[in-house]
Amino acid sequence: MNRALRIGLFCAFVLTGAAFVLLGIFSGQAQAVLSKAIRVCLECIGIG
Amino acid sequence: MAEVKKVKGEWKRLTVQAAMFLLQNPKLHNFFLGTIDTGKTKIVCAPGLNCYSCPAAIGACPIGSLQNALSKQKPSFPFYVLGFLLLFGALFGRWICGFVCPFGLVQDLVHKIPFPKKLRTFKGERVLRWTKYAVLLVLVIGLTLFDTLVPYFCKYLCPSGTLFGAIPLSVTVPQLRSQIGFLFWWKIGVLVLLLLISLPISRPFCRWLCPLGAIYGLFNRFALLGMTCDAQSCVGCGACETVCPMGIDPRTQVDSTECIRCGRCIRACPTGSLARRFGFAPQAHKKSTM
Ligand code: SF4
Ligand code: SF4
Repeated sequence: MNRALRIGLFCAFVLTGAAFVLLGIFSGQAQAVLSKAIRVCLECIGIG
Repeated sequence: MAEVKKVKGEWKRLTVQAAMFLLQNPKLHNFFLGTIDTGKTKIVCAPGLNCYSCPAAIGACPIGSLQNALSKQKPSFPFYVLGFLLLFGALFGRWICGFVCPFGLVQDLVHKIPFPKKLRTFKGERVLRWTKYAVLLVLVIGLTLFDTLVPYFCKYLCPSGTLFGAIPLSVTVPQLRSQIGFLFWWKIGVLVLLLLISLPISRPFCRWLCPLGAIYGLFNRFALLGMTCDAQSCVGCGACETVCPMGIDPRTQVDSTECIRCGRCIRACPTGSLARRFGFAPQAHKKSTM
């Protein structure tokens, strides 16, 4: 794969990733991740 | 059936893996208290398959968080988790699997236990590798969207949750122990089976089943951290292929979705034809030691 395409795709992924994280923060998704992560996930431990 | 050969200097990678484990799971005292961390750092997704119900974890599992975002009555597009996956993938690709993921480390340690025959791959094994994409599309996304409120991958398959969450919490918390039923034993069975298979074959879960490895693998080609193979200096001895824990031939598949960037092939190469790539330099050859 040529270098320019590699750089272009890398930049596109990083910019999209950063934009998605920001969008997630402003739409309350980050908070939803936190509230799930601080409770014992019963499914994960094979009980729920 | 090809056998996997040993290579010197593996302790360096194991040291980095152990350090990464501690960085993501520093609250070791919680293992004895039977509790999980409730700090604000859990708003950030961890790069590897690191269960958020592991008592010591201070980050959120990206696959668990993705399932949680999708398993709502009215699921919304999971921008936040996908953002982390895009960033981790674009920066590191499957280097995360080789150096950061706790369940990768566990499988590597189990594979170190002596066993009569260590296999690199076997007939038909390549077909099995497609299963992880099915796990991602069906268990993580499809069924979760279809049957809301059930995170299928976490519930029925994830061995990381069983090892780092279910086992320690069930040992220390009597209320949880009293609720143990079929599901718990099913998950223990999956974990034990995968660890047993890890004795002859390295990283069976990563090769065949992990949805996170499936995602990161797609980035290997474009990631900032990659590898190169210099066809000019390669003498075709095949030493690299015989040490690869993922059963790849790095001479022709240096950007394979299966490569976990462990660097064993780099160390085995007698001519320094394989090297790590940082950034996007076309061929930057310098013999690396890790
Ligand atoms: S494939 Fe999955 S379990 Fe294996 S190292 Fe990568 S993220 Fe971890
Ligand atoms: S190709 Fe090299 S770096 Fe990739 S998994 Fe195999 S030995 Fe490790």
